[in-house]
Amino acid sequence: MSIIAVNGITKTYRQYRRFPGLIGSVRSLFTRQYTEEDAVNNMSFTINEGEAVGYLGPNGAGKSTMIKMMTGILVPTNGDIKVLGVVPHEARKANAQQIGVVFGQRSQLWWDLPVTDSFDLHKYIYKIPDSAFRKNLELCMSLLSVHEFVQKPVRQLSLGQRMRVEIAMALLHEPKILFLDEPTIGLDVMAKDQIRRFLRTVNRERKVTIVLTTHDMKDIEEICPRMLVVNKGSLVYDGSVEDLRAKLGSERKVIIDFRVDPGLLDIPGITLLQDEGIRKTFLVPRGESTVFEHVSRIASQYPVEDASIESLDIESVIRKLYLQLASEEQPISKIG
Amino acid sequence: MSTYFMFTLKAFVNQLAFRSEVWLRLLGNYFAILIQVEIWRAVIGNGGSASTTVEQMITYSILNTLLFALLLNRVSSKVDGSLKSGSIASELIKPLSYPLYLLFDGLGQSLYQFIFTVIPSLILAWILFGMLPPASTIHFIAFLGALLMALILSFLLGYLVSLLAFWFLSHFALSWTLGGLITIFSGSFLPLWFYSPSWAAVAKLLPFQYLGYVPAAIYLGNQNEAELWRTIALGLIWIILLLVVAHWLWGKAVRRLIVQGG
Amino acid sequence: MTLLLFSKLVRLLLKEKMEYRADFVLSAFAQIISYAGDYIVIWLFMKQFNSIAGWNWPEIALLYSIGLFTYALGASFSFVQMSGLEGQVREGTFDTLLIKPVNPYLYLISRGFNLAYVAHISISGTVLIWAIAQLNLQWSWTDYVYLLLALISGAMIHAGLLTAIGATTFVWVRTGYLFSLFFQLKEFISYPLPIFGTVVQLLLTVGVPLAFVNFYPAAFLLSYETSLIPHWAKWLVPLAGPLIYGLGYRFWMYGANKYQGAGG
Repeated sequence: MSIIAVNGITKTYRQYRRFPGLIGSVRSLFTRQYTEEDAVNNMSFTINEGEAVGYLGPNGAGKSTMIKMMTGILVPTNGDIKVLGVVPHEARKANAQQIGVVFGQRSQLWWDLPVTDSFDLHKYIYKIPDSAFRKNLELCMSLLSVHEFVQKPVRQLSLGQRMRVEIAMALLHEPKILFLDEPTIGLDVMAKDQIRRFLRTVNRERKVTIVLTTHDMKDIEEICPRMLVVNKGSLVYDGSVEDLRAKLGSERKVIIDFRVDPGLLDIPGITLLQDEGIRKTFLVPRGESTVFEHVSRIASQYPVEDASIESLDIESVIRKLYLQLASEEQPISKIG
Repeated sequence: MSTYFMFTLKAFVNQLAFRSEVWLRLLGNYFAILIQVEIWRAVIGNGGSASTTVEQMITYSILNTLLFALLLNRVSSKVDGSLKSGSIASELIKPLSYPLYLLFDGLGQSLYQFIFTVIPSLILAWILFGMLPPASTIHFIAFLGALLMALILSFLLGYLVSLLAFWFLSHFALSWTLGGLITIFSGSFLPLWFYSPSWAAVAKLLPFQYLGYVPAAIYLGNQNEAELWRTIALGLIWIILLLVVAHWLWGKAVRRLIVQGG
Repeated sequence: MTLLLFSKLVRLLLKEKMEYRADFVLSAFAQIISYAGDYIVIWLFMKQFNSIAGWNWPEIALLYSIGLFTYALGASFSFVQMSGLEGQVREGTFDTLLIKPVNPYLYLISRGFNLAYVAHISISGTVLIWAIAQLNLQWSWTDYVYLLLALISGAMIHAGLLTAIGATTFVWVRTGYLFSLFFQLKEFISYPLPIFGTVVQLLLTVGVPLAFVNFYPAAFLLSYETSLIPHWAKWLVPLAGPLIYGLGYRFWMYGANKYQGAGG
């Protein structure tokens, strides 16, 4: 069953031009010139109940605009959007009651008060019954180990602790969908890991649908079986991480440790990615000769200590996708 | 010294970004002067009272409204800002005097106000309400000296408040208190000669009168030469006194900052 | 937005203020000193001139106190919230208001409900009571009701105007200077309206109707001439508050909708 249905959504921003000088500022009171820019352009997709979807794209791709439209903050210029069967901005309050939103860089907590006070207020805002509140609070606090600092004022928490609190709070009213805008930005490895594990649990066990934007591919790999990749306001990929890798990641990364540094190697068909002296990393395409053949050819010419073959990490896959998109665009932008 | 003049210039240029608000300041000053003019017309009337004419009070009001725009009253909030953000530490490492930097930065803002607010407001007020000329050449020169003293004293008072904020941590409360004292004792709305004798006597001992009453009263020639010299001497004593206190507090404040690490 | 939620918010705000208890008390004390300064200067002025436009010192104290009291009451629900809106829109924190299942306006003003105005309220309230006692007025109970209504209405006028100024944030982004213009205009109503010319009187009655805050109510209560408003309209004056506040609220909601459409 689809829980979010986005159909032909466009969001156009108007950028007003200011006229310079005093006469200009008077003039801009009467006439306003503006340029229009589509942050989201004719986008369509559906998300089913219980999915975990990663929403990614380069900066300025229209990620947060889309999140804002799905959460009812912004009104789309064109197209239909339905979240849990209602149009978010029309039924903003009803929609808000059913969703949880975490903005990575915009705290909703009370800076000078203990964490419990923010939780407590949340209960009043969302009119959560006592028993449900206690149950959910207990669950979130134990899974995110919030207990240890729940009595501390928010200003004394680390960024990772604060983010854990934000996420716990967003789940207290049992939302059906959880939107997260860059939930792991700026966190250390441990904190990231804990949040990812928690989100996976929330998604798999409590069946909360998750939509998250991120720049960290690890978030996608660990939480989201499905990803939506956007570029310049348009959807360019919708599918699983594996499929994208199969489509684009036909190369393998080969790391070879030599006994002595062989110097500059020039092997046709192979690209040197990284040179650390006796350890070199190559990018090897799969074509007429197999990866193994390449490796054994090198080993026959130079003394090789060790070799390992890896598939491309998701980061490289995405980078490749963006590069491909950029090169496809070239002719279009020349025409336009 | 040229480094410090650069701060003046920089503060001046920074203010240029708010050019659109110039007209609004002009309107604001017009309102402020209009209110006072109407009040004096209402209570003194066109005939004038025994000692003071409406024209004198209009001039007094214009001078005080515009003087207020020139005073360096943003010093303490600037220091407070860098105390709160912690940038005070980096200000202190720079190879220059922080108080002098504050002074010249403030002067830049005043220079901006002078050119873009005070001069146009003065012309506007002169056309709309009329202004008396200075009482004499001597009084005019003394008036310019009093203006300078007003700038310096306003800086020193704001600076002292910001130094006290190192201990009290509440610059807000201190500057409201300073504002209250200035309202009561500067005589910028009601000249001290209209104060009841006991209040006037207190006000004439305090430094706040230099931020309002003194320059305007000198301009109008309300003080004869002997009184003039006495007023200026007292002002200088206040400047020296505040300088000494500020210097002493500054030393303690820096030490406190180093000990506590901000 | 229930009363329950509002009281919860106020309790949290109090708790937050108590984190900086000494600072709060010091600031309140300093604000009282500052406003005492204003009163002292007016008192010194009245001591010298006895009356202005026929109003004596306790009458002027009454006029000024109604102005300050209603400002504090109205501003506690509007000023900090509305002047802070500019930063909230710029930094995107305004969005977090729109994801809550509550009316964003009501949440904004309650979340920012400013307890610091307790200083203004105590000094102006005290002087107001003193002035009424001093004037030895033979007031009937309707006069007291009228004063009460006037105080509520005055607070709503201040809040309505500040709210309307805040709403311009959604269109113009930089609004700081509009607030300073408001405060400059507010200076006019510290004195009896008749000392000003017709243009100013009209401006403060029809344009920016600040004269309804304190001058008209006080003039009716003290039986002074009100050239622009006939005597039969006395009981209509306290309606100005709800009207202006309602318009301010509508304008704000219109602005917020525009923000949702345009996206800041």
